Amino acid sequence: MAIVAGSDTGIGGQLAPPHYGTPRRKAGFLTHLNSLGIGRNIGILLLLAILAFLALYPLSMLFYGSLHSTPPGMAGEFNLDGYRQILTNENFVILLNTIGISFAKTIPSMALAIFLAWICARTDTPFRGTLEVLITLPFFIPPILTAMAWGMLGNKQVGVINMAWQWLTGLKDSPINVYSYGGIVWHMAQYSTPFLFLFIVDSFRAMDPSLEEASRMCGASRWRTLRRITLVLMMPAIVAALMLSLIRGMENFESPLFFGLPVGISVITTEIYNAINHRATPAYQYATALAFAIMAVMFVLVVIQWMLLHGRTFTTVTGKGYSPNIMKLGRWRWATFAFCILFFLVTVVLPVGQLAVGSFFKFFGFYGWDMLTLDHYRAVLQNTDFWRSLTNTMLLGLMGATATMVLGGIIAYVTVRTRWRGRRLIDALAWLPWMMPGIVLGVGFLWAFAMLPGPFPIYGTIWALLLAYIALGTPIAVRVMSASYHQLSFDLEECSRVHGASWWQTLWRILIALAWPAFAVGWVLTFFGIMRELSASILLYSVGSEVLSVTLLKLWANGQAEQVSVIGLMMMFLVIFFRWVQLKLIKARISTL
Amino acid sequence: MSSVLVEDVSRTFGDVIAVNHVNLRVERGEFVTLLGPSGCGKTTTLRMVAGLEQNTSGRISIGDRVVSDAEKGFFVPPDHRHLGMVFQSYAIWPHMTVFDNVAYPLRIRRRPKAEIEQRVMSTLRLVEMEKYAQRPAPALSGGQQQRVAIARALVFEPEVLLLDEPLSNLDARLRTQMGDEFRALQKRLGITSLYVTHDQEEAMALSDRVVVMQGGHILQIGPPEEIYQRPVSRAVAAFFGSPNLLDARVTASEARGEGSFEVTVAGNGWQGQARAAEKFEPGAPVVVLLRPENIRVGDQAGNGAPMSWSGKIVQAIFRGPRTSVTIDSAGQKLNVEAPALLGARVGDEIQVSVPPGGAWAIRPEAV
Repeated sequence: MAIVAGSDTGIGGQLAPPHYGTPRRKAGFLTHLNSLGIGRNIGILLLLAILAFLALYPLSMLFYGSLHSTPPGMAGEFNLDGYRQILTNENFVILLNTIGISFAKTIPSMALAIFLAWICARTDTPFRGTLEVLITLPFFIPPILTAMAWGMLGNKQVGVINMAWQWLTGLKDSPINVYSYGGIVWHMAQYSTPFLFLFIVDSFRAMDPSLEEASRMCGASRWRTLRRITLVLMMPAIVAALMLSLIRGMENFESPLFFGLPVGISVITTEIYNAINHRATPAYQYATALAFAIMAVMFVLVVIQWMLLHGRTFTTVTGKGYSPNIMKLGRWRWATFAFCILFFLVTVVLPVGQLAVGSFFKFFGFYGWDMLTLDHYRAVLQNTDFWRSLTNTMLLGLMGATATMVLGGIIAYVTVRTRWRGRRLIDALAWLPWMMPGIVLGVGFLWAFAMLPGPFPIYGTIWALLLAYIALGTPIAVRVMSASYHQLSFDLEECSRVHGASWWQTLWRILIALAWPAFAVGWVLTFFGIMRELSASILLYSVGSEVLSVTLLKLWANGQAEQVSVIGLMMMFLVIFFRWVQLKLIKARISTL
Repeated sequence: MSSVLVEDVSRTFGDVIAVNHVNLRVERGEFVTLLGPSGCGKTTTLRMVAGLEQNTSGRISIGDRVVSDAEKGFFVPPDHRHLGMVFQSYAIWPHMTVFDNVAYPLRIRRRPKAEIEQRVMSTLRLVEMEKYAQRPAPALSGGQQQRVAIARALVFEPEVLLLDEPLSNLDARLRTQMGDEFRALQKRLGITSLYVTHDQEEAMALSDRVVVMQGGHILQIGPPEEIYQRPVSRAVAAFFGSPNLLDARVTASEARGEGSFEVTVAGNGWQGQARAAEKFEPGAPVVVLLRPENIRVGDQAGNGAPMSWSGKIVQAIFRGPRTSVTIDSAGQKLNVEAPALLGARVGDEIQVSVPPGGAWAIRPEAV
């Protein structure tokens, strides 16, 4: 037997003197470093340095800039003028707008999301699996695309909806105008509904059916059980989702930019943007002070949210849970089916259809057979700005998503799976960008890059955007990866170590091998995030480093809605392709584990 | 195969002392079990031998090689200790097949392909899993996963095999079967094994020697029979089953040779002979241990036996192979394991006695 034959350890008797000799396999240099803790400390310091540069540095530059009287990089003095300028009546209205709009979109979105989640998770509505994919699709479409599509659909003069209304009723009035409070809320709700849906649907699904069965056995009706047991049990998840949705509503940039700014409705994010980009002399100090102030508000909200959530923010991959009670709806199941389809039609098909239609007609708003043309496609394909921004976006997407996920994977590893000193600080630093809206982070980096000493000419290059994207994506990347690590027992790693694999070999052959599906899902998510990012990009781009969202916005501002439609359509296909890849990966993971 | 030497080893977590100055030697080819309630430090001790925890004081050697010496700041990481380990959860990597799982230690060591193939298959044959080599690991039952975990721990001919409660996730019937199979394999191959469990029956059935631990200390080390019949303390005695521990005083004591003594003890209304490990002075207080299954009941009891009681049955629980009876004899409760066919019922008067050699006297612990 091979196993007994291998006792080649020598005498090993009691008389042999203890020796501290070399192990049977030579311990490498790295192992020695590791056993002394030096390699680990260098690693921790490096990680802290990277995170400090990505989060702490722009944050402190934001504060510096809010006190500095001149634009970044110019000599000036320090005063409190920026903060004094914030305290005006106009800004009070802006603050009320910001909060009011966020509430106005969160409440109906939540009601709708609960209803849709209930349909998909707890009823026998046909094709629930497909419906779920369709309902959540709007969340993955860059908001800038739907904003432009709705700008065309809901235009007071030439919008398709109003024209259809006039054609149907023969009246001359236009009931729909998206350039209004209602329009902003409507556009935001299209995103927050699928977002909230994703957030709560699993808690609907994971509920122990016996809790509800017990209520039925006590004599409660089905409806009463739903109200008194199911919804009450879900209250923590719902409250957490509400809080998150409110914060995101206040951070929103695209909706108020497209539908509010043209008609003079301002929120804080657009006011910051406006002060830097649309005034004769950019009011940097004012904008920076405003950004810093809103960040302080966000900090309070994030702390409240964190306390409500206890740090549990994302449910990405679900394990095997209970099989929940399915309510038999009878004939009504076709009504719920139709309702879900209607949601999909309004939030996806309508705007995408508008983009498709818009791309083939000579002028937006004039739809006749003689107006059909492919000119816009030709124009876009010959447009060097388009090609450059497409290359930039793809490059930034690939590099940014990879770098963000690698960084997030390492941070999550250190915070979840080690007991190293400094890991809590790392976790906190990685969370910091979470409370900075994109526009605030953009302002922070604007200062940060301008103030960087000589040999680092990052300002105005594509690297500026890359760093901002990494900072913005890191919190999500960390959450995705730590959720995945949490599912893997420590034994799997320790077993590998005992059986001869080094720390690095274990990391590579066990941990990464097991966590890569989550890595890939997170990668796609981060790529989406970069593709749709507008608020930080608009501040940090310069000639040569435009990205697609910026080019789209410029074309839109120039009134070239037709070319916008062409590019928007192309981006849509990209989004659907990546979403398909992502769903494949999630499915593969669930079936293997 | 090598021996394991644990010298004066401690492990503290902050203020908590998990393992407190433990000394232990596992000889080559020996099967030693660390036994104790959860939190007694047995798993921490095993993990320190594995190198998964670092001892805060003391020295650990495997074979003639020191692997950890806290005073000298010397520590060999787990991957350089050449040990096999079976985890409580089995830790079968879900992204690999059975073959890949078992081949992992050999691949890490860069062995030639042909050798890997041959060794993995022969080891899988050893645990009767050769038919499952190409199965994905998650598609195995608990018992099969356990066999794969053992195969993986043995395939590279480790110095020592460490096992952390490997049977605790199996159902009762399978647990006994796997335990017996593993013990047979261990004896056949002569594998030095260090085994952790909280299950006393498992410990006694498998081990050459048992180490009873509590609160980070070793209470006693010895062969299963010695631990069970001749415990050194009340705590060790109480760890197995529900023994009768009666307070008594020594009236006489004589040596029987080989460090064994015969003492005459007297309790409240009874007296008799007991064995002991030390010479007690007359008048010294002792605790007399009576195992419930060593007490004879009714007709078997025999009149005139040196140590006997009579009392009323206050509880009788039928357990299938036997009946557990509690007897009240003038306020003294006695647990007795009686034959299943015992005719007596609750309330009956009954006579019980202890045959010579059935009683064991130990020093009462200072409280």
